Amino acid sequence: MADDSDSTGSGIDEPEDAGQPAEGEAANASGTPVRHGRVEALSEEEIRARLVSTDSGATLDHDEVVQGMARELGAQRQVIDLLSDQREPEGVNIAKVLDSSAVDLEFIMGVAVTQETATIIGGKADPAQRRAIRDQISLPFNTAFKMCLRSIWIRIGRVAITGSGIFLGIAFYASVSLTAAIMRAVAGAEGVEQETARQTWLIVMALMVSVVGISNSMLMAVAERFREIGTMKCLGALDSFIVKLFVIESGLLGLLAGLFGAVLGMGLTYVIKAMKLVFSFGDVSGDMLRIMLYSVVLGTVLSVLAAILPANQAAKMPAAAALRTDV
Amino acid sequence: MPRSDEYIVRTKDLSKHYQMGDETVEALKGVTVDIFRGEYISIMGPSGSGKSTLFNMVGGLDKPTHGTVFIDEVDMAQLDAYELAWLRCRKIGYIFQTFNLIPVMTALENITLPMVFAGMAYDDMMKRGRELLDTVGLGHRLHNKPGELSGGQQQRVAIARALANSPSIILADEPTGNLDLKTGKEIIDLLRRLNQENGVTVISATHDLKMVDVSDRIFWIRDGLVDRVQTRSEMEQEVMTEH
Repeated sequence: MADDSDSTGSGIDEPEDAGQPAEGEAANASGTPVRHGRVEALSEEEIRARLVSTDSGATLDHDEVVQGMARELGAQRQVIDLLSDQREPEGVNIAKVLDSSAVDLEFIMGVAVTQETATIIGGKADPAQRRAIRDQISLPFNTAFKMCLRSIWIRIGRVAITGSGIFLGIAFYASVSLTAAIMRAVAGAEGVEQETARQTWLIVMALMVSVVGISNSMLMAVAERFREIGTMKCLGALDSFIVKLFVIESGLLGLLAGLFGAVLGMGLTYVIKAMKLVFSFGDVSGDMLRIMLYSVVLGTVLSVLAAILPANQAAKMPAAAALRTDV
Repeated sequence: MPRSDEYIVRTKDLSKHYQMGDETVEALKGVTVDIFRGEYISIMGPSGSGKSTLFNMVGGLDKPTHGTVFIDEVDMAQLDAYELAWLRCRKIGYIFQTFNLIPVMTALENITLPMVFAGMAYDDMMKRGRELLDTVGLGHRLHNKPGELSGGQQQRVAIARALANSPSIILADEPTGNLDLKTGKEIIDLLRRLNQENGVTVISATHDLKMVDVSDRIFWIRDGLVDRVQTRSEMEQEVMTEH
């Protein structure tokens, strides 16, 4: 049940109102009996068993929970009695009783309750209630992360191709940077200035090329999943969930591609140096750590950048349009 | 479960225009329908008649050009993105012609996805997911991916997913369109059973005449307008007189 209760105490008073026939007639004034739910009462033992199992003791201590529930139980009993009497109209004011109840009646009593939607959302609802809705739609990071891992694993072939754009760009960056670092360590600072400028230019070009490449792949990857996006929106996903999923997925991809790219780039640099029979590298371990870090950050950022625009675009599409697309 | 006198869906003078180049196509031209809680409704009509458009409007998947849709007496146009998501998540279950399961997820994961969005605890989610799969007769295929299931089985998973958060309405767009005769019949029977046992309102856009037998009322749509509304008894009489 969705409602927040501000006072558990009032829960004792409300059901007594519910028992008044006057109230029942008021609800029936329009001539349309309002059914709020169907009830199958549980035996007392079952209720007690459920009470024990619901005690999570999150904020209240055990006694408080038990006391609170005992009070609620009294209140809810009356509702059950009322309903089992089959008095007309069925389910008088049960919503009112429930509104004041902190305990999930549906769970404890096995009562399926359909609340009037108008009391929860839309212009007629209480503004506080409308704001509370925002917390009732969620995609926890853990779940999103697992979904992304799964999604990457299933599409590993295509992901590898997308990732290779970043991977190669980063490998190039790592290799060039390490070469520069080695030169600096071996030859000192002289003559390196001009070289550095040229290298920066090269690196920027390489990374730009790889961003354009992965943007294209990401566009395709998003377009391929328009229908999935539309479906998720039908199931209650916010636009931000869609973006979140793509950001995590592309971030993971970029991180891995950056990491492996750095390893490959630096590894190759060493191999090439060794083949040229250069064995004095100076102490570049600090530089290597720096390059590794930059590579991972760069890879992640570039990959997320490439994915976020198409994902955002796709998330904003009306669900119907997203579902219609056939790719 | 008998239908109640409460409205679950009302549309008022609903119209939708699409811009196709220089031309404006009127997919809906002012549709007003009232649907009661617990009814089984079929929206029938030839393709291009606007039934899918109506389906999209009622489901909050697209915005009407004019007119209003009320779900449980809530005006959809007034809802913000969160409320709309909330409504789709908890009040409406969708079923599609093409099943639209998430291909990388197992049957159980597909079914529990709406529960994830609704913030349900993991254990409750798994329990309910299993129960739902049992309900649709797929208790033994929990961990199969959609690609490993037949069309009929996929549609069953989709129905179970639509039921995940105990919605008041199930919206089905051509649910039998991609299924053979026998499987289609099974899916229709399943929907009817859920309608009768759980009291969920079923609204189905279709041109499958098998749906007629189980529908409480049939809305015939033609050229973006409701041509006529028939109750089942009227329909049966018509069939009787014809023979």
